[in-house]
Amino acid sequence: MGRIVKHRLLKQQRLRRSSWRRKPYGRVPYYSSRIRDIDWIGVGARCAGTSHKATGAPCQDAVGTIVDDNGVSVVVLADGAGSAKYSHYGAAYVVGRAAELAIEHFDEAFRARGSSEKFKQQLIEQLQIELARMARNGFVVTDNVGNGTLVKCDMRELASTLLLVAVKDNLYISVHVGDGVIGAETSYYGQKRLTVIGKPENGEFANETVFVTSNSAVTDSKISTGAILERNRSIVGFIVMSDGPEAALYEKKSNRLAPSCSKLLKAASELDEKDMADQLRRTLEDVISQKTSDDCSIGILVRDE
Amino acid sequence: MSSLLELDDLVDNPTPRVPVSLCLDCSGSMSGAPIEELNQGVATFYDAIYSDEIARYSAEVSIVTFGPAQLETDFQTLDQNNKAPRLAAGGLTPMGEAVKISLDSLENRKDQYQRNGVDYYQPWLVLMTDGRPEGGDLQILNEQMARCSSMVNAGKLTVFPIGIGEYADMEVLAKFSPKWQPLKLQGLNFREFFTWLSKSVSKVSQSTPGDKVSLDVEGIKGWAEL
Repeated sequence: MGRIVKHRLLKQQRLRRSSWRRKPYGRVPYYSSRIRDIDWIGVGARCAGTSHKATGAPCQDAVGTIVDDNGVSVVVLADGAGSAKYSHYGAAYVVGRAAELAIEHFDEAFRARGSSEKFKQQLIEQLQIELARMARNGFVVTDNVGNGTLVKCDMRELASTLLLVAVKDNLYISVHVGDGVIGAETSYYGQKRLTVIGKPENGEFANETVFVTSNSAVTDSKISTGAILERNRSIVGFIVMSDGPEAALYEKKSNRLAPSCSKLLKAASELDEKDMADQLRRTLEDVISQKTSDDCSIGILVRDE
Repeated sequence: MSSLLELDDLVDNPTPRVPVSLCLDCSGSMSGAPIEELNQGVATFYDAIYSDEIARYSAEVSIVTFGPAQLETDFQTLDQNNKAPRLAAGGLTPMGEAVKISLDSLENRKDQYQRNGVDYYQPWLVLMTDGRPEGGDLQILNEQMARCSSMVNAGKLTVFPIGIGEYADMEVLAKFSPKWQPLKLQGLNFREFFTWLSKSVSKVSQSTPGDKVSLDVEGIKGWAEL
């Protein structure tokens, strides 16, 4: 009897070890990081919302893309909190620094099961440390005529959301703090399909959300990881948007992106980068701003084929 | 240079809602000038909200009256119906029952918002009386005081308790409101109060994530005895 029990235990241990080996990157099977010939195009645009233009307030959204830095391409967007006085400075800092950290530490998200959560925690905590330092030590604020003043403030005055997608070889990471939407277009047996990777995280009420500077930022944020190319499915591109365009390009009830997001991704893959950035900004100003009075920004990372 | 999209390419999401429940004392003691002024105040509120481009589609108003406790109009935006109901005075003052109707219909409305993917702001409850609770169940009154306070403390509700005239029981009103002292209306300045309320609702309807909407404290001096 004792031998049978022992045999069963050994068998269970062997199974556990073998299943761990079969899934080196956690929950998503079929990953292969060895594919190295995917090229990316990055483009972003933003515009001040009509409510900000009316009061002369600056656009508090920031968006940026980096393509192939050390093999990593990134699109990052941050929407500064309307109530925070210097949130446009916080958003700009978060965009630049989150991209750098994602490039530097990309591989750490895939080291072992649970690594991605650790990656997210370290990314957000590092941003919080640096934003606290920025608020404490001060930063230069420029006025309309270009005069700079050193300003110190409470860290909450630098509050912004964070939407980030980073890709390297065949892998991607997306990190989402707060509202706005992260989406991807996939090709499944040649059929293109839009999916939501990160849906808006508001509180119960419409004017509540989580910011990078919030105490609950680590617990109330989401990270997802996956493969660009799988057996029958491949990701064609990613789109990130602040809550301004969210009102026009994301159907909240069904948690779906508007089919027109495909048009934006297609244009990004076909147009010259400067033309695309100009036309995207024009689209935000002339079309999307008719649906929202909020600041608008969109970032796109699309495969160059 | 052309745009990449047209208006037809965009989706329509419902406007985020601001639910406002007016729980109004229409008991026999409100007869005469008070009910007339109250009716004009409510009509002023409807007009002001309707004429605000955003609040018209955002503010959802419900009216509950007590004397007896009943739902006069359930939550709806004023673009659907901008005609204020005509309120009549009569009966006793079952305040607990009326607050229960207000909070129950509010919970029901929030369920509908959530089921239909409609964003909403923190709801408001305006409780106005010219006397003390009378003719209702004491247990219901106590339950609703506790329910209301607990919602306010949890940040789920903003309550404005308003006393009308010298016989308004301010101590009872205070039990519904753990954070704000109830205020007493200056004379019959209903219109001034409802104008202030419509401006405050309009401000909330335009707020975005992260905004802390501060009330116009200076404006309160126009209708309250401070």
